[in-house]
Amino acid sequence: MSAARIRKPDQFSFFLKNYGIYLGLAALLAISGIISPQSFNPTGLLNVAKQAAGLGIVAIGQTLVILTGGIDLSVGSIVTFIHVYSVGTILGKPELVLPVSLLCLLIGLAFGFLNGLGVTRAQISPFVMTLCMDFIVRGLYFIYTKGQPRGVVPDNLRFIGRGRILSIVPVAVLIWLGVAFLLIFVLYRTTCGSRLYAVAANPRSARLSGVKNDRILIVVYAISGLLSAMAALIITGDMGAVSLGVGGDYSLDSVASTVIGGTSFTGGIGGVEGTIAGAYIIRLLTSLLQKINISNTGKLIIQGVLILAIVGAYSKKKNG
Amino acid sequence: MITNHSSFLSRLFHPERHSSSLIWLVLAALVIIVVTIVPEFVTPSNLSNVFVQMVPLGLVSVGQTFVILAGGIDLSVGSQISLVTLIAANIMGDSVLSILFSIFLCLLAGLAFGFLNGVLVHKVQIPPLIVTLCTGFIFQGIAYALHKTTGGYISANFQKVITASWGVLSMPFFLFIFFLLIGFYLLNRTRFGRYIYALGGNEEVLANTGVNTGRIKVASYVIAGVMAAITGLYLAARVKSGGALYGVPFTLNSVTAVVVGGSPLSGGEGGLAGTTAGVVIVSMLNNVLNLISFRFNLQSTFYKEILTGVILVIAMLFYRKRS
Repeated sequence: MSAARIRKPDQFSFFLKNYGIYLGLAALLAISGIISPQSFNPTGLLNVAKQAAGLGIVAIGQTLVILTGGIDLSVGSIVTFIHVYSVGTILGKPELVLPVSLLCLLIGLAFGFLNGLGVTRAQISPFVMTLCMDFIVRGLYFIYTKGQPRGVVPDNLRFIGRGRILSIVPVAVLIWLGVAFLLIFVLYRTTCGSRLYAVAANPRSARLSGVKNDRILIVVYAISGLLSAMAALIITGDMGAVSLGVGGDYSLDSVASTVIGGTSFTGGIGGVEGTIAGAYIIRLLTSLLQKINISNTGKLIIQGVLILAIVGAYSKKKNG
Repeated sequence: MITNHSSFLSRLFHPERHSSSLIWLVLAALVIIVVTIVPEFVTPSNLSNVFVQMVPLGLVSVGQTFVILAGGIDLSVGSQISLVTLIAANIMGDSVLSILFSIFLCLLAGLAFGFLNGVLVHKVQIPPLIVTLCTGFIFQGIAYALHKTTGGYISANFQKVITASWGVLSMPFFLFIFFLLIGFYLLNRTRFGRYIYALGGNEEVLANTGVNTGRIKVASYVIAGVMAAITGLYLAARVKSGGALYGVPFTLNSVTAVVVGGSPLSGGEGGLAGTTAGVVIVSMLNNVLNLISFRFNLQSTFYKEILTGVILVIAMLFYRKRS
């Protein structure tokens, strides 16, 4: 059984904690309907979902890491690395897409695995380890591209980013939701999931009850790396071009999605289901800000304030 | 762990609170290796180059040391520096009064940034990492908004005063030594300094002795903010402009310098002597990387980021708590 079952908050805060995110989403949708009624229709909203798919997948990995009380600041660089590496290796040849994609997933897994090793075996605090990894991977993709990325994205890779089933449902969204539901199942319905919550809530008692804490943590960081790589391939397919500026925002965006989705930095509280809405909210917010002509500048400030406000509100509750 | 007869090796692997002698030994060893591999490092022009690069990192690391000793961390110093260079470049004129007013305003801004961080950490009880990561993004956002393509205006007189040099001695050198000495005095000779160590060592115990821990904590972030502002002013004067990305390398480099210098992120141990050595090591390695990549015709900026990350991981490995 999941650790979340053990806590029994009062009814109202229980409702807010579990469904508050959807109230927020509804409010934001209403605002976007007022600001730009012309794009407030199923097609427009599905378009936002398509843009949110890459972030959504990165944020799922981030959620797992934050659930264990850590943080992964290397996802942004991993996304950019896999993006420039995949395009630069495939070079427009459709037959190379499958093997290179698999290789990319392995590389992402390896970066995450190294993060996990640093955090567990070397006892380096998660944010230092992943921040260092962020710098290292950034250096690597600069060296790989020599500052000028090149390559062409073939059609079959574009399909996973841009393609639509029955010309309605974006493939990227299906992959996103597939990954999300798989991990929701793993978290709530398998021993692995309850062990993860146990390690997050109380590492000592988890260890004493026979859970191998280190192994769980390493797997969590490795999954985060793997999902960043998967997201990078989808983003590459959607963009259809190559750029070094792709991943820059993903570290902050994924942390924001997770926190907005109700997962707490103290560890052991929250889950993937809120993060799905969180990622959608972030992308909706981005497109809204673009519509009212507030550029990236405003987005950085608003996200910073938003995370602080949510974390602050939660910590007040804990003390009061 | 207390050992009466500690050999050099056991001291190496169990750094104590005042392990600054140790880090200077490491530095000496590094210098010998560097001089053998890259002889062009010791040319006078290169050494003065290293020194110019070292000063801003040194200034910001003094502030970072206070925060880390008190058990926190400030990941917003880089954005604070960028923002201050832009504030200076936006309001500075040519008259003495205008220059003094700009300096005052920049210091006030740094004080306000640090105060904001401190209050969020202490009053709202958000972990320092999250607070300063988020305020860092907020400052960065404001910096982008202030950034002009021309880089603003910095008075030539201000530049002359800040970068003045007399032979081997120079204004940046005095600035660094001045703030380092103030830091030394505060940390080692005042009650406030002892409280900083105590706060990082065990906050609860300090609070139980009747000390207002919140005030000490906020003060540590304010010091970091003011030092970031001074760094920003120095950078603005040296480059003669403001820029939204000027401060970016300083966030991780200042943390690296402090940690390499023997103050672990858990707080309460270490000090400014170690940080000074850490600053010299980080600047020296960056410069050596420049020289080596020049020799092999490589793009050194690409390798610098990897180097910073790797040094920090190695330092953390070296200083990790053995249980």
